[in-house]
Amino acid sequence: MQRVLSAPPVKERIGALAVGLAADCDNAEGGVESLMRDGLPDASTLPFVALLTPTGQWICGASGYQDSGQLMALLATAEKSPLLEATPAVRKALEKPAAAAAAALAKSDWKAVLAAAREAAKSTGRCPERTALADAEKKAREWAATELDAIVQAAASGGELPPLRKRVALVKQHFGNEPEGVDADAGAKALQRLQVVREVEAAPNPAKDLRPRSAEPFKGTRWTALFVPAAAKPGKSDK
Amino acid sequence: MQHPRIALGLALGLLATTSPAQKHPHFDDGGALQWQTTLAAAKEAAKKADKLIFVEYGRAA
Repeated sequence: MQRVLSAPPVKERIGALAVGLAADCDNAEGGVESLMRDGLPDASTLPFVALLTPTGQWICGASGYQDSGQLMALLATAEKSPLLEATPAVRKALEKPAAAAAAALAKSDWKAVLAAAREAAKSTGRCPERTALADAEKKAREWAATELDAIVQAAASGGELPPLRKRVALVKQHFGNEPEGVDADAGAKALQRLQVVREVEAAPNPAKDLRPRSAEPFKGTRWTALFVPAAAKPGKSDK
Repeated sequence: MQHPRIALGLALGLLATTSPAQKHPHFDDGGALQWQTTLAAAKEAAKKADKLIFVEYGRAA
């Protein structure tokens, strides 16, 4: 199983299609054990493998070693399962958030897009409404990533800080406690710190380690780039 | 004022609580899948990622 899972084309396909559940047959949860027993009643050769819907419904499975072709066939079967389609009730429930997301997308109202996406996450099942919501959410997150990158670039290259602070605040306003909002919080603090660094550097003899020390709290984030001295930036001359 | 690393840590901690993805306990799959070890966690992760659940039911070689 190890070799089959880790090699193409299975690796890419299964990673895009599923999350894994590693179940130890000698110490399996009751729910998993009964799922496997009911799904593969005559199976005797380990490992048993199975594909379930996100809600844990059995789709298909097999027992014993599965080579790459067999596993790919199993994935193809699972992918076509009608169990993965949204029920009419789910589709009906997604109509409103999908329409809200489309309207919000047109206005770049990312907060409303994310709210609609959160509503969609309460149910499962494939349908055009869910696809549209996922596309809108992706665009929202792409916007935030692009905007935060642009803010870093502008600040690192000497841009005026007040308008950049406003842009960071706008990301925060839209994304709240989402990862992008947390990133924006860090950005607001980094821009504040950069303002202090610039003021200190405008005076004679600033400490040589001013920028590295200022970058330290932001280690591991995009915001450390704000404190790279001009001479250390790629493409910049020492002159 | 909250320190940015604390805020980031809290966010990462929250993610870890809701989706504790990990390596397979018995073998290295080369990063093919994010593994869970309970059905409840697998369902949660699958729902969040809009993916299926691949069950590997076996024992360490």
